[in-house]
Amino acid sequence: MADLHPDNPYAKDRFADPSKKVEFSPEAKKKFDWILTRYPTKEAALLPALHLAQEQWGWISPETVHYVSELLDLSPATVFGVVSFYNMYNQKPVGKYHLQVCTNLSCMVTRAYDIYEHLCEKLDLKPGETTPDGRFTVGEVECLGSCNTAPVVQVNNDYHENMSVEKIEQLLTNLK
Amino acid sequence: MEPIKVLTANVDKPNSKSIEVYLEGGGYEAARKALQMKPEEIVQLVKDSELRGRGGAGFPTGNKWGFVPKNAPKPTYLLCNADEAEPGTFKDRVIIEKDPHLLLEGMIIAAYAIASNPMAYIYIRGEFHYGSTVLNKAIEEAQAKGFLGKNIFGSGFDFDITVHRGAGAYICGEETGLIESVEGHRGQPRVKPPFPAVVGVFGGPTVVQNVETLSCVPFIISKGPDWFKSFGTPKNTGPKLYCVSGRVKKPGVYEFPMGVNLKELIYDHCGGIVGDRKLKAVIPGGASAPMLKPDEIDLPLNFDAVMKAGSMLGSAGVIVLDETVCIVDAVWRLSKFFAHESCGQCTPCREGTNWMESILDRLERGEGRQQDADLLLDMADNIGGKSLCALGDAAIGPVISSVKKFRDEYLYHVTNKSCMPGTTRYRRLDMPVAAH
Amino acid sequence: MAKVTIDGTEVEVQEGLNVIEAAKAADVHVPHFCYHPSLTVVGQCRMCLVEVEGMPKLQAGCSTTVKDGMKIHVYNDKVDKARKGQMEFLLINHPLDCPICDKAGECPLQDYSFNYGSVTSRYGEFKRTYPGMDRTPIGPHVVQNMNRCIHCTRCIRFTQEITGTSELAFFKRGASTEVGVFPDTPLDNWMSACVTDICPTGALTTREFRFENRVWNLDSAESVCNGCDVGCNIFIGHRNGQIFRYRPRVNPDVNDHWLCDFGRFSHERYDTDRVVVPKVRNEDDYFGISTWTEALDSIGKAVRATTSEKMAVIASANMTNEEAFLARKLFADRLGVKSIGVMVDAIGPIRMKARTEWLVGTQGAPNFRGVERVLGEGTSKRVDDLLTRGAEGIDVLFITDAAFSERAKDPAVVANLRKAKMLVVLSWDATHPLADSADVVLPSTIHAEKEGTYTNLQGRIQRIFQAFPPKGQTVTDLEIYRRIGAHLFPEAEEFTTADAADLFDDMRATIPAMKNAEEAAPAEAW
Repeated sequence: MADLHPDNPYAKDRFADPSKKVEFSPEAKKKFDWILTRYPTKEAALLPALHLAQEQWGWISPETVHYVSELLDLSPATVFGVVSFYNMYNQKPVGKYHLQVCTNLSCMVTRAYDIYEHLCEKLDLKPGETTPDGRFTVGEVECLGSCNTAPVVQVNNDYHENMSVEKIEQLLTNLK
Repeated sequence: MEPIKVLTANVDKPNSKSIEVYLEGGGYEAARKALQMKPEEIVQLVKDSELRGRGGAGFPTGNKWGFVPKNAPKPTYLLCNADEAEPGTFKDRVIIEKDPHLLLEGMIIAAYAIASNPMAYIYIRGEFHYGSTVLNKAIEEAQAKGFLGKNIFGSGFDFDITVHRGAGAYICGEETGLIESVEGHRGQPRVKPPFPAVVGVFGGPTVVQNVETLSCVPFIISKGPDWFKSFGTPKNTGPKLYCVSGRVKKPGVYEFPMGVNLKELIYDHCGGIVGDRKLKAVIPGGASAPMLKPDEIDLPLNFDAVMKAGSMLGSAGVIVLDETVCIVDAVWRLSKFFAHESCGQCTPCREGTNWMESILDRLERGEGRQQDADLLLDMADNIGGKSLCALGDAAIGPVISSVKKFRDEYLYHVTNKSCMPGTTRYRRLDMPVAAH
Repeated sequence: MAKVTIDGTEVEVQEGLNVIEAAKAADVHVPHFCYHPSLTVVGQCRMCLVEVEGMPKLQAGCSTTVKDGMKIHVYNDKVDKARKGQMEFLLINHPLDCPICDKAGECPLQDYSFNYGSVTSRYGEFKRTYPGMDRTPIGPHVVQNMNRCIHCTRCIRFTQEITGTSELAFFKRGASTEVGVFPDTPLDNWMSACVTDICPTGALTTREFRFENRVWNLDSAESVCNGCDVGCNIFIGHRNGQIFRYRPRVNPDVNDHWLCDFGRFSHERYDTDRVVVPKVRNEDDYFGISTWTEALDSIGKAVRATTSEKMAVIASANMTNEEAFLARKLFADRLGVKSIGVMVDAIGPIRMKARTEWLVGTQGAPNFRGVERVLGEGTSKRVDDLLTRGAEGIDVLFITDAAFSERAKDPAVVANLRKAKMLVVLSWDATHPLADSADVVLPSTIHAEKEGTYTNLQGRIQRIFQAFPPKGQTVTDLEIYRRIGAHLFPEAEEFTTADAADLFDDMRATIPAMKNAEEAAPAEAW
């Protein structure tokens, strides 16, 4: 597939680097094999397999897409279709702390946007970007299902509830 | 009406998620009892209880189980819908994190009643990472006790549960979207018919039930349908978890018999509006339910009464908006949610939700046009009932109701290029917006 | 069977058929984009909404199956409003660049926009674009313009369900949903260009046909692909005697809606110098352009100077049944030539999906079975002998098509054939080595210039039609045999006409194996 248009989103960094070989760690491989036993089809293990991959590498790289597609006998396009459908699979590397502010209605009316805007300005980031030191990635997220403790900020897998600008300041200093 | 403790009986106990605490309260006795009954008897009990699905549609659970064909060529599956992603809803999370064994017991009974395949799946949303670890732990405990696995309670019934984590997609809460997601696909809802009860996950007949629905089942078995029906009114029976959030003093999950008065819930049990301000609007059933104005909220929160009032009980996620909230901004936020969560396969939802969001955003930015309000209504008409799944209908709920009930606010945005005096827009307009 | 009423017309159709198909029985067209008879039903475009009496909501025609007594309204005000709404949604983000779009003129989106589109737009926002995806080659043959896409997923379903290769998929979701290939895995399968046929917009076009011609300027002729022995039914899109494209013609029993890339682009072989006048080698070994009279004279002289034992004919699997039949009459019946053979190259295997089965093409020409049936089975050995051992001792060797085999391009084979005293070659390709070393070259025709029938691997006899007349002094192959025959046997009756239809009837009467040909090649398709 030569002469791609230079602006094509699939032209540059989206290609897998054949020199980079990725493989599940032994524990992950063991977990993966167990997952396969829990479903009647191989394909059904795709979401758990991608979760495993993301736990190991932090994001789903083009190489990972190829790796998972080979593991499950799927086409890379099918795998990437799934990766890009679901929000939680990172298609770019993220920082050590992935700060996701819920801004849906219940959080919004309890001033979640203040927190979000504060984070963006303080860290000088646009949504989805990572600080140069690789510590923080900021993003907006849809309802986290914790509206009684709004506003909520999700840091990696943990919920931080009843947040405010002051509390997020405190949290940032605690997250080293 | 006083709060009750049925589904939430265990949640305040220390270490309530452990199997020991659950067993102390008589846990798994209902499952033991059920597995000595005939599956048809259980289905009949659930039918008698008039239990209706707690996920949003309010479909009678017993009927759903009765639709499962006997002797289907492929095995029958039970799926638990724990993809709780409707904005304003956080009831299932309480059960999952605080009383997981109640859910597991309900699943055992349900699986036995529909003669399920030995493997069932709990589809939990990916964000509930803690919830999934709690469930996995609970499953291990139950397996260790022999409540899950081969020949449970000596009945010859084999049954096990796998927790299937989603990965951030509201649409996977839709029955067939969830089925697609369990199969490892993009969570794009399927065209119906065939309905899941006939052809569902992995080609087999499938019953998809909400967490709260399944958690009701053990009580129906242990205490009987009549006890269950003693809560609520005919056709709207049983204990119900209500989630209240937004501008109230005490947001949270409240358990009442089905049909607590909405006004009473907000003012008596949740302590009223923050700062004792005036109420502006209530969304009674999660983001997709049409809004109610303050003069419409004196009604029992059950499926039929809310439907009659022109809204829907949905997942019983009550979002309270006070007088300082700019309605256009609030509806914009909900529209942004639906545009973001549209799976993108069918035309009206993919294009329409995004268009609605653009118009509402433009109104907020002071670039509204005189015809926008009518355009929103007409567009909503082109989406409603035309989309492939219910997300399209959900997306137009807040838009139609707000344009009809708060038209003056929309027009104020057009003519004055700002929010109504006394209302707030919570976001800054100069902030970069993430692409969907 | 179910009796259903569609827009007032009561028709009886198979129970379980969907509304779109059932409506065809009532001669009512239900507009649709995502529905395709050979792909799964997904109900995504919502264009086929119809009203079914007794159902509160409008139903998608593709996913609603008819039941006895159903009353369906395909056209009424309610449905019209809904369809206009869907059309508006589809067009708000469509670039509306029909004037520069290759699909214009045969584009369902464009066609339906005349019925359901609005002259003015209510859309006051920016159109969604997919930067860098507006002219992207996503495979060797297919160019994608994502801006024009209406997300019908026909192409995705094609790669999933027909070819099983799944190179295409939906990426992202919501309004940003895009159709694409994953980098490194281009849309590169043996039927990839079919996605451009089923695409209801100009989002997918072939590199080969892109910007070559406006479709309304093309004439269309029904024909059969001559790439292999599957015999896929095609339309030849042509203008001014030039072929611009092949398009699959629906035949559920052979190629359904599909056409393989090899066959689709096989007309590119005709983009070469054509033989347009007869060429004759004179006594001074000068090989120059000539006239039909001279060419026939020199053939006649050579034939009369020899005996039937010293003549040989290499027939071609590219001949139509009628050509083979007339050639048989000339060479075997009249001249008594015994050494007539036909051979075919192995190819592929090329798999082709008929509605219910896979056909596997293994021969590099369309009509080996038919020609063999006419000339007699097991004749390829004779050709093989000529090619490998040489035409030693042969006085006159006729080759009915220079392109009878790829082997004929091999210099050693050409030298072997050249051992015949007189080599007569029919060729359309002026660059073919045999056309250079022959003694007489007769200008013959490509399959778009003639009519007749081919017998495919199922034994199905399928007609081809003349798309445009032969070029220059070229005449159809049938006419060539007729001219030779009339020259050699002026009083013979069979060489007074070269009409394919007459020969077809004659052939059915003469050759027992062709007796049922009429059923296989129905007259209405003639």
